[in-house]
Amino acid sequence: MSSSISSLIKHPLVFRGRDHRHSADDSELRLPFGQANLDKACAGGVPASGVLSIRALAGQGELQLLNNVLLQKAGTQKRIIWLPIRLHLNPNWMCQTPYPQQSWVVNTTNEADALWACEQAIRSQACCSVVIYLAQVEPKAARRLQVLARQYDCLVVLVHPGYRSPGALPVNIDMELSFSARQWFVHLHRVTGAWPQQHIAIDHPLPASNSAIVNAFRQYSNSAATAIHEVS
Amino acid sequence: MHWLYLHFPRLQLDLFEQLHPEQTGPKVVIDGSDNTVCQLSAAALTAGIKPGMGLAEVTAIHAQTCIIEYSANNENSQLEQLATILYTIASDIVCVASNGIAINLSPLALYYQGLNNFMALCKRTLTARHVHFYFGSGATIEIARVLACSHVNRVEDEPSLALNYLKNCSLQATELPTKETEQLNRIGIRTLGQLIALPLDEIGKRFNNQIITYLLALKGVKQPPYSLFHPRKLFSQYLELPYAVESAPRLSRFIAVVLANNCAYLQKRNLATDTLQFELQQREHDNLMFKVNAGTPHHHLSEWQMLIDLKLEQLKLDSPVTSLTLTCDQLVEFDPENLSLLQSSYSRHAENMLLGKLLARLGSDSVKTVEQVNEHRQDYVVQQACTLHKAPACSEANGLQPAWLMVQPQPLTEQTQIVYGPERVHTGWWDDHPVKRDYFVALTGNGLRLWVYRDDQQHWYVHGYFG
Repeated sequence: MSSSISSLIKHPLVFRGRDHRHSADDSELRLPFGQANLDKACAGGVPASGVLSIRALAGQGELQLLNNVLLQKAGTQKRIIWLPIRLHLNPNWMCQTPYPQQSWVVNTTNEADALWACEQAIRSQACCSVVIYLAQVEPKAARRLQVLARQYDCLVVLVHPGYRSPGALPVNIDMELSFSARQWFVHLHRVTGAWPQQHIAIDHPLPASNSAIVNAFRQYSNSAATAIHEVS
Repeated sequence: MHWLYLHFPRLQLDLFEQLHPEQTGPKVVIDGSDNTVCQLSAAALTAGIKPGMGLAEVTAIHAQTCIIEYSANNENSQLEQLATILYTIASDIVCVASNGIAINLSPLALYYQGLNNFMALCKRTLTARHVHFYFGSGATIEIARVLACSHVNRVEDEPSLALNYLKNCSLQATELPTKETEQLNRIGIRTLGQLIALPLDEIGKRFNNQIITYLLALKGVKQPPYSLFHPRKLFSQYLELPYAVESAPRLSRFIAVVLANNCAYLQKRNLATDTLQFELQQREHDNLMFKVNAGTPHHHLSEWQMLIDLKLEQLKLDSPVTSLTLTCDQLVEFDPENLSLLQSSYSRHAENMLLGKLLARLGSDSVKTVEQVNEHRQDYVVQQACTLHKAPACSEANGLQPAWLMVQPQPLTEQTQIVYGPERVHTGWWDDHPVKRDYFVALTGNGLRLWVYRDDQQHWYVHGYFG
């Protein structure tokens, strides 16, 4: 009887309260996102080692959200490994980040190689962080990375669309980035140390906008100040 | 002069037994030129097989005998390896034929304070290589060779004493051609003692100058010239496989043999390498060449073996491999500072090991560092991006940059909202790739932040994404 219960609770889709309680230990280092609402919902931020799963498309501003977290991990001076499958990381963008010299971009042709490279990077203990983009993630693979990342003190950021992972992944944080009515939200499917939460509004500014010009035009077109352009 | 001659009667068989310790049955090496046995194992001798027997006779005596084809290249390569190893304990070495090594003992007697000391070291060195050998010594290489081939296995303190043993040796142990040996046998001369006793003038009337020169050497009068062995400045070893190997991962056990020699070579010279070159001779296709790179120069066998195994997993053979060559020519002095395993903090060692693994499995251009590309045309940025092992400090920011670039810009097909722009890029008029584009940041309904541009034809394209 006990063995059947044991095998049941080992299932990756089963949420285990014991793990939840342990990981809520205050001694665990957490890295804040820099978003007050999100950090509060995540019990202070991302655990410094383990897997952070972000369900988002490449280009939804997922790296912008990670900026503060990666910056803190980069303080260890260890490598940051980027594993963008079928995507091309812009070197000029990378040079604008604070950690270009710590970064290695590893090009792989398939997801099996990417997962292998990720695992090797974690095991090497030469990397503080691995950012990997996958089309889909199996819970088994996520659990494996989570165990390794915890063991070797590495932060793995797993970015995937999340279409094929209906349940929460067995990782530290499984979050989804969504955009609705001009507002960005984060849905937390799973957080160690806190309860899952939906619709957490975050401040996720665009990389650049014409709002200053638009506002200026709007303001001056409705005021008497436009007279300065009039020719008498 | 006092020479030691080491005779290796079964080099190829020794290597085979080293590679296949599980095969305990009779094994013979067949010389393809006359189809006769030239080397045989102890089990083959017990079964009744003798040197010189034909292939049919061998299989008739023992049907399960393992047959190996003789390869002179293989033996030469092995002999060179042995000479390289012996070079660490002796200075004047001569490689003779494909199965003998002569060592000048004169300077070694003083250096090792007695020949017995040197011989003990020499035997231990060769025993560690798992090779069978016989030895003999004499005033010339020829005397020592005859004694070694006669299995005398003695080294006298004085070279002149060797002549006593030489007299009893048969003519078959000499290098005299078969025709001349038979000629001498017919007139009743069967031992070297009888031959040496004959006056040289009389022999000179019946035999050519080469025989006279050889006899002079056997008498210890004159040593023919030999060129001394000098180890190569680089490591290279050829290995003939006992059978054709069809799958790359199965080459691992054979590569392990040459790799062990390579690492020993490097360690003894305090050298390290970060590149190993392999050449695989395929039976029905051209030779397959590949390199294995490590993150840092080192000479650790287990780490090289791991990298090679990773490489072999990815390697596809066109046809079975019959032999292989390992070459290591990019040698640097070993710097132990890079390989400190005792540092508790971050160590470059771990990083280099990771780099080596990634390069071995994913290819030599798979890992790149980040380098700013001084080019406004982002199409070129993707092509020129990144070089390995080099991460220069980045200079000034290059304007608004998306994290992800598309190799080929794609037409914009979905509805978007322009949130920023335009930024005009008008450049490249000096070469054949002029660009005149207005770049914008556009937002899609699901929040994708696109980097789009409008060309001078008023067509819209997506060029990247802001991550």
